[in-house]
Amino acid sequence: MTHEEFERLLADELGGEIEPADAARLAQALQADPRRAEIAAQLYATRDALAAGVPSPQRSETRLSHTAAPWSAPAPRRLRLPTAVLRYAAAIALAFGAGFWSAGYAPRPSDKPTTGPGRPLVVPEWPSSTSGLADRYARATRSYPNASSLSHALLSLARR
Amino acid sequence: MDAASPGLDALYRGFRARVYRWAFALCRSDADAVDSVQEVFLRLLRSGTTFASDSAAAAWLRRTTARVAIDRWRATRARRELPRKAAAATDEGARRAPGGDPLEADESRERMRGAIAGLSEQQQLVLLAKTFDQRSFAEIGRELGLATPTVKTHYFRALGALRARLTPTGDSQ
Repeated sequence: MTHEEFERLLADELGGEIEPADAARLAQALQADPRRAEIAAQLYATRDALAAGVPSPQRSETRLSHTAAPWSAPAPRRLRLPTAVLRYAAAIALAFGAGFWSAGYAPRPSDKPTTGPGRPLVVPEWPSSTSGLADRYARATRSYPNASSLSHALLSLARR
Repeated sequence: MDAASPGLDALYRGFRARVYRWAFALCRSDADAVDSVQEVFLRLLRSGTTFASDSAAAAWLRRTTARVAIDRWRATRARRELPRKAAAATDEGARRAPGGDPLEADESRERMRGAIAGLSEQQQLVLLAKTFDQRSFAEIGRELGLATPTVKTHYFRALGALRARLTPTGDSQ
Protein backbone atom coordinates (compact mmCIF):
# COMPACT_ATOMS: atom_id res chain seq x y z
CA MET A 1 0.00 0.00 0.00
CA THR A 2 1.43 3.40 -1.01
CA HIS A 3 1.64 6.27 1.45
CA GLU A 4 -1.02 8.24 -0.50
CA GLU A 5 -3.41 5.31 -0.38
CA PHE A 6 -2.72 4.84 3.34
CA GLU A 7 -3.51 8.53 3.94
CA ARG A 8 -6.76 8.31 1.98
CA LEU A 9 -7.95 5.18 3.77
CA LEU A 10 -6.99 6.53 7.17
CA ALA A 11 -8.80 9.81 6.40
CA ASP A 12 -11.90 7.79 5.47
CA GLU A 13 -11.56 5.81 8.69
CA LEU A 14 -11.07 8.90 10.87
CA GLY A 15 -13.98 10.62 9.13
CA GLY A 16 -16.26 7.62 9.58
CA GLU A 17 -16.73 7.08 5.86
CA ILE A 18 -14.62 4.03 5.15
CA GLU A 19 -16.06 1.19 3.09
CA PRO A 20 -15.94 -2.31 4.64
CA ALA A 21 -13.50 -3.58 2.02
CA ASP A 22 -11.19 -0.63 2.57
CA ALA A 23 -11.47 -1.04 6.34
CA ALA A 24 -10.14 -4.59 6.03
CA ARG A 25 -7.24 -3.42 3.88
CA LEU A 26 -6.40 -0.65 6.31
CA ALA A 27 -6.49 -3.00 9.29
CA GLN A 28 -4.11 -5.30 7.45
CA ALA A 29 -1.75 -2.42 6.70
CA LEU A 30 -1.77 -1.25 10.32
CA GLN A 31 -1.07 -4.75 11.56
CA ALA A 32 1.84 -5.12 9.20
CA ASP A 33 3.48 -1.80 10.05
CA PRO A 34 3.69 -0.78 13.74
CA ARG A 35 4.85 2.70 12.77
CA ARG A 36 1.69 3.30 10.74
CA ALA A 37 -0.35 1.84 13.60
CA GLU A 38 1.23 4.34 15.98
CA ILE A 39 0.47 7.23 13.63
CA ALA A 40 -3.13 6.07 13.35
CA ALA A 41 -3.49 5.82 17.13
CA GLN A 42 -2.12 9.35 17.59
CA LEU A 43 -4.48 10.74 14.95
CA TYR A 44 -7.46 9.07 16.66
CA ALA A 45 -6.39 10.70 19.93
CA THR A 46 -5.98 14.08 18.22
CA ARG A 47 -9.43 13.85 16.64
CA ASP A 48 -10.96 13.04 20.04
CA ALA A 49 -9.00 15.83 21.76
CA LEU A 50 -10.34 18.30 19.23
CA ALA A 51 -13.92 17.42 20.10
CA ALA A 52 -13.30 17.07 23.83
CA GLY A 53 -14.65 19.81 26.05
CA VAL A 54 -16.80 21.41 23.37
CA PRO A 55 -20.37 21.73 24.68
CA SER A 56 -23.05 19.59 23.06
CA PRO A 57 -25.57 21.26 20.72
CA GLN A 58 -28.21 21.12 23.47
CA ARG A 59 -25.93 22.72 26.06
CA SER A 60 -24.87 25.34 23.55
CA GLU A 61 -28.49 26.21 22.82
CA THR A 62 -29.22 26.45 26.54
CA ARG A 63 -26.16 28.64 27.03
CA LEU A 64 -27.38 31.10 24.41
CA SER A 65 -31.10 30.93 25.18
CA HIS A 66 -30.97 34.17 27.17
CA THR A 67 -28.56 35.94 24.84
CA ALA A 68 -30.29 38.38 22.53
CA ALA A 69 -29.31 38.79 18.91
CA PRO A 70 -26.87 41.68 18.47
CA TRP A 71 -29.45 43.71 16.54
CA SER A 72 -32.07 43.39 19.27
CA ALA A 73 -29.86 44.74 22.02
CA PRO A 74 -31.38 47.73 23.84
CA ALA A 75 -30.50 51.15 22.49
CA PRO A 76 -27.79 52.92 24.42
CA ARG A 77 -29.13 55.19 27.17
CA ARG A 78 -29.17 58.90 26.53
CA LEU A 79 -26.36 60.75 28.19
CA ARG A 80 -27.66 62.40 31.36
CA LEU A 81 -25.66 65.13 33.00
CA PRO A 82 -25.25 64.78 36.74
CA THR A 83 -27.55 66.98 38.78
CA ALA A 84 -24.61 68.71 40.47
CA VAL A 85 -23.29 69.91 37.10
CA LEU A 86 -26.68 71.33 36.23
CA ARG A 87 -26.87 73.13 39.59
CA TYR A 88 -23.47 74.73 39.13
CA ALA A 89 -24.36 75.80 35.58
CA ALA A 90 -27.60 77.36 36.85
CA ALA A 91 -25.74 79.17 39.64
CA ILE A 92 -23.21 80.61 37.20
CA ALA A 93 -25.95 81.70 34.81
CA LEU A 94 -27.84 83.37 37.68
CA ALA A 95 -24.72 85.15 38.87
CA PHE A 96 -24.01 86.54 35.41
CA GLY A 97 -27.65 87.48 35.01
CA ALA A 98 -27.65 89.31 38.31
CA GLY A 99 -24.43 91.10 37.42
CA PHE A 100 -25.69 92.32 34.08
CA TRP A 101 -29.05 93.26 35.55
CA SER A 102 -27.50 95.39 38.26
CA ALA A 103 -25.04 96.92 35.78
CA GLY A 104 -27.86 97.86 33.47
CA TYR A 105 -29.91 99.55 36.18
CA ALA A 106 -27.10 101.05 38.19
CA PRO A 107 -26.92 104.86 38.48
CA ARG A 108 -23.80 106.76 37.58
CA PRO A 109 -21.26 107.34 40.38
CA SER A 110 -22.07 111.03 40.55
CA ASP A 111 -25.84 110.48 40.94
CA LYS A 112 -26.14 108.27 44.00
CA PRO A 113 -24.07 106.63 46.71
CA THR A 114 -22.61 103.33 45.69
CA THR A 115 -23.23 101.22 48.75
CA GLY A 116 -25.98 100.28 51.09
CA PRO A 117 -28.23 97.31 51.65
CA GLY A 118 -30.62 96.71 48.85
CA ARG A 119 -28.94 99.21 46.55
CA PRO A 120 -27.40 98.16 43.28
CA LEU A 121 -23.65 97.98 43.21
CA VAL A 122 -21.97 100.61 41.08
CA VAL A 123 -18.42 100.27 39.87
CA PRO A 124 -17.31 103.17 37.72
CA GLU A 125 -14.59 101.43 35.74
CA TRP A 126 -12.58 98.26 35.42
CA PRO A 127 -10.13 98.03 38.30
CA SER A 128 -6.52 98.62 37.39
CA SER A 129 -5.12 96.65 40.32
CA THR A 130 -5.92 93.73 42.56
CA SER A 131 -6.74 96.10 45.39
CA GLY A 132 -9.54 97.52 43.25
CA LEU A 133 -10.82 94.04 42.57
CA ALA A 134 -10.72 93.25 46.28
CA ASP A 135 -12.66 96.41 46.96
CA ARG A 136 -15.29 95.40 44.44
CA TYR A 137 -15.52 91.97 45.99
CA ALA A 138 -16.02 93.50 49.42
CA ARG A 139 -18.76 95.74 48.13
CA ALA A 140 -20.44 92.84 46.33
CA THR A 141 -20.37 90.92 49.58
CA ARG A 142 -22.01 93.77 51.43
CA SER A 143 -24.60 94.36 48.70
CA TYR A 144 -25.56 90.73 48.38
CA PRO A 145 -24.90 89.21 51.77
CA ASN A 146 -26.92 86.06 51.02
CA ALA A 147 -25.21 85.23 47.73
CA SER A 148 -22.45 82.66 47.43
CA SER A 149 -18.74 83.44 47.22
CA LEU A 150 -18.72 82.41 43.57
CA SER A 151 -21.54 84.86 42.86
CA HIS A 152 -19.67 87.61 44.66
CA ALA A 153 -16.55 86.91 42.61
CA LEU A 154 -18.48 86.85 39.35
CA LEU A 155 -20.32 90.04 40.24
CA SER A 156 -17.12 91.87 41.03
CA LEU A 157 -15.71 90.81 37.64
CA ALA A 158 -18.84 91.42 35.60
CA ARG A 159 -19.67 94.90 36.81
CA ARG A 160 -18.51 97.96 34.91
CA MET B 1 -28.80 49.69 15.58
CA ASP B 2 -30.07 48.56 12.17
CA ALA B 3 -33.31 46.66 11.99
CA ALA B 4 -32.96 42.98 11.21
CA SER B 5 -35.28 41.11 8.88
CA PRO B 6 -37.36 38.18 10.17
CA GLY B 7 -35.13 35.92 8.06
CA LEU B 8 -32.11 37.10 9.95
CA ASP B 9 -33.81 36.40 13.27
CA ALA B 10 -34.62 32.88 12.10
CA LEU B 11 -31.04 32.43 10.96
CA TYR B 12 -29.79 33.56 14.35
CA ARG B 13 -32.07 31.18 16.22
CA GLY B 14 -31.24 28.31 13.88
CA PHE B 15 -27.47 28.71 13.79
CA ARG B 16 -26.39 30.39 17.02
CA ALA B 17 -25.67 27.13 18.83
CA ARG B 18 -23.60 25.85 15.92
CA VAL B 19 -21.66 29.11 15.67
CA TYR B 20 -21.05 28.93 19.42
CA ARG B 21 -19.67 25.38 19.16
CA TRP B 22 -17.39 26.27 16.25
CA ALA B 23 -16.11 29.30 18.10
CA PHE B 24 -15.67 27.33 21.31
CA ALA B 25 -13.70 24.65 19.47
CA LEU B 26 -11.38 27.31 18.09
CA CYS B 27 -11.07 29.59 21.16
CA ARG B 28 -11.61 27.01 23.94
CA SER B 29 -13.30 29.75 25.97
CA ASP B 30 -16.96 30.30 26.77
CA ALA B 31 -16.67 34.09 26.94
CA ASP B 32 -14.80 34.32 23.64
CA ALA B 33 -17.30 31.95 22.01
CA VAL B 34 -20.29 34.01 23.15
CA ASP B 35 -18.62 37.22 21.95
CA SER B 36 -17.79 35.53 18.66
CA VAL B 37 -21.45 34.61 18.13
CA GLN B 38 -22.41 38.26 18.52
CA GLU B 39 -19.62 39.42 16.22
CA VAL B 40 -20.40 36.87 13.51
CA PHE B 41 -24.09 37.77 13.33
CA LEU B 42 -23.27 41.45 13.48
CA ARG B 43 -21.06 40.97 10.43
CA LEU B 44 -23.88 39.11 8.74
CA LEU B 45 -26.26 42.00 9.44
CA ARG B 46 -23.80 44.58 8.13
CA SER B 47 -22.90 42.58 5.03
CA GLY B 48 -26.54 42.18 3.98
CA THR B 49 -25.72 38.71 2.69
CA THR B 50 -28.64 36.42 1.87
CA PHE B 51 -28.45 32.67 1.38
CA ALA B 52 -30.15 30.36 -1.07
CA SER B 53 -29.96 27.41 1.31
CA ASP B 54 -29.07 26.36 4.83
CA SER B 55 -25.94 24.78 3.46
CA ALA B 56 -24.78 28.08 1.98
CA ALA B 57 -25.58 29.85 5.25
CA ALA B 58 -23.62 27.25 7.20
CA ALA B 59 -20.62 27.63 4.91
CA TRP B 60 -20.63 31.45 5.22
CA LEU B 61 -21.11 31.36 8.99
CA ARG B 62 -18.43 28.71 9.47
CA ARG B 63 -15.88 30.70 7.50
CA THR B 64 -16.72 33.94 9.30
CA THR B 65 -16.65 32.20 12.68
CA ALA B 66 -13.19 30.81 11.98
CA ARG B 67 -11.87 34.30 11.16
CA VAL B 68 -13.58 36.00 14.09
CA ALA B 69 -12.64 33.35 16.64
CA ILE B 70 -9.00 33.13 15.60
CA ASP B 71 -8.66 36.92 15.55
CA ARG B 72 -10.25 37.10 19.00
CA TRP B 73 -7.94 34.42 20.35
CA ARG B 74 -4.88 36.19 18.95
CA ALA B 75 -5.96 39.47 20.52
CA THR B 76 -6.62 37.79 23.86
CA ARG B 77 -3.28 36.00 23.75
CA ALA B 78 -1.44 39.23 23.04
CA ARG B 79 -3.08 40.89 26.05
CA ARG B 80 -2.21 37.96 28.29
CA GLU B 81 1.34 37.44 27.06
CA LEU B 82 3.19 39.73 29.46
CA PRO B 83 1.31 38.77 32.66
CA ARG B 84 1.73 35.09 31.78
CA LYS B 85 5.46 35.46 31.30
CA ALA B 86 5.74 37.31 34.59
CA ALA B 87 3.69 34.65 36.38
CA ALA B 88 5.76 31.86 34.84
CA ALA B 89 8.94 33.51 36.06
CA THR B 90 7.74 34.02 39.63
CA ASP B 91 5.57 30.92 40.15
CA GLU B 92 7.87 28.25 38.81
CA GLY B 93 8.35 26.79 42.27
CA ALA B 94 4.65 26.85 43.08
CA ARG B 95 3.80 25.03 39.88
CA ARG B 96 6.06 22.16 40.86
CA ALA B 97 4.53 21.87 44.30
CA PRO B 98 2.64 18.70 45.27
CA GLY B 99 -1.08 18.69 44.60
CA GLY B 100 -1.02 19.04 40.82
CA ASP B 101 -0.33 21.74 38.32
CA PRO B 102 -3.02 24.41 38.38
CA LEU B 103 -1.96 25.74 34.99
CA GLU B 104 -1.83 22.40 33.23
CA ALA B 105 -5.41 22.50 31.93
CA ASP B 106 -4.98 26.10 30.82
CA GLU B 107 -1.73 25.28 29.04
CA SER B 108 -3.38 22.32 27.35
CA ARG B 109 -6.19 24.54 26.07
CA GLU B 110 -3.64 27.11 24.98
CA ARG B 111 -1.66 24.49 23.04
CA MET B 112 -4.86 23.38 21.28
CA ARG B 113 -5.79 26.97 20.43
CA GLY B 114 -2.33 27.66 19.07
CA ALA B 115 -2.31 24.44 17.08
CA ILE B 116 -5.67 25.24 15.46
CA ALA B 117 -4.63 28.81 14.74
CA GLY B 118 -1.59 27.46 12.93
CA LEU B 119 -3.72 25.56 10.42
CA SER B 120 -4.70 27.00 7.08
CA GLU B 121 -8.23 28.40 6.84
CA GLN B 122 -9.37 25.54 4.63
CA GLN B 123 -7.99 22.99 7.06
CA GLN B 124 -9.84 24.74 9.90
CA LEU B 125 -13.08 24.75 7.93
CA VAL B 126 -12.79 21.09 6.99
CA LEU B 127 -12.09 20.14 10.61
CA LEU B 128 -15.07 22.15 11.89
CA ALA B 129 -17.45 20.77 9.30
CA LYS B 130 -16.31 17.19 9.80
CA THR B 131 -15.96 17.17 13.57
CA PHE B 132 -18.87 19.31 14.68
CA ASP B 133 -21.37 19.13 11.82
CA GLN B 134 -20.76 15.53 10.79
CA ARG B 135 -20.69 16.55 7.12
CA SER B 136 -19.47 14.04 4.60
CA PHE B 137 -16.29 14.76 2.67
CA ALA B 138 -18.38 15.19 -0.48
CA GLU B 139 -20.70 17.73 1.18
CA ILE B 140 -17.76 19.68 2.54
CA GLY B 141 -16.20 19.68 -0.91
CA ARG B 142 -19.37 21.15 -2.42
CA GLU B 143 -19.53 23.84 0.28
CA LEU B 144 -15.91 24.86 -0.16
CA GLY B 145 -15.68 24.29 -3.90
CA LEU B 146 -13.09 21.53 -3.53
CA ALA B 147 -12.79 18.02 -4.89
CA THR B 148 -13.57 15.26 -2.41
CA PRO B 149 -10.02 13.82 -2.41
CA THR B 150 -8.69 17.32 -1.68
CA VAL B 151 -11.03 17.59 1.31
CA LYS B 152 -9.78 14.25 2.61
CA THR B 153 -6.21 15.44 2.23
CA HIS B 154 -6.99 18.66 4.13
CA TYR B 155 -8.62 16.63 6.91
CA PHE B 156 -5.77 14.18 7.22
CA ARG B 157 -3.08 16.87 7.07
CA ALA B 158 -4.95 19.05 9.57
CA LEU B 159 -5.12 16.22 12.09
CA GLY B 160 -1.46 15.46 11.42
CA ALA B 161 -0.47 19.08 12.00
CA LEU B 162 -2.46 19.17 15.23
CA ARG B 163 -0.82 15.95 16.36
CA ALA B 164 2.64 17.34 15.65
CA ARG B 165 1.92 20.52 17.60
CA LEU B 166 0.15 18.84 20.51
CA THR B 167 2.74 16.07 20.85
CA PRO B 168 6.16 17.72 20.87
CA THR B 169 7.97 14.42 20.57
CA GLY B 170 5.69 13.05 17.87
CA ASP B 171 6.80 12.68 14.28
CA SER B 172 5.35 15.09 11.78
CA GLN B 173 3.67 13.86 8.61
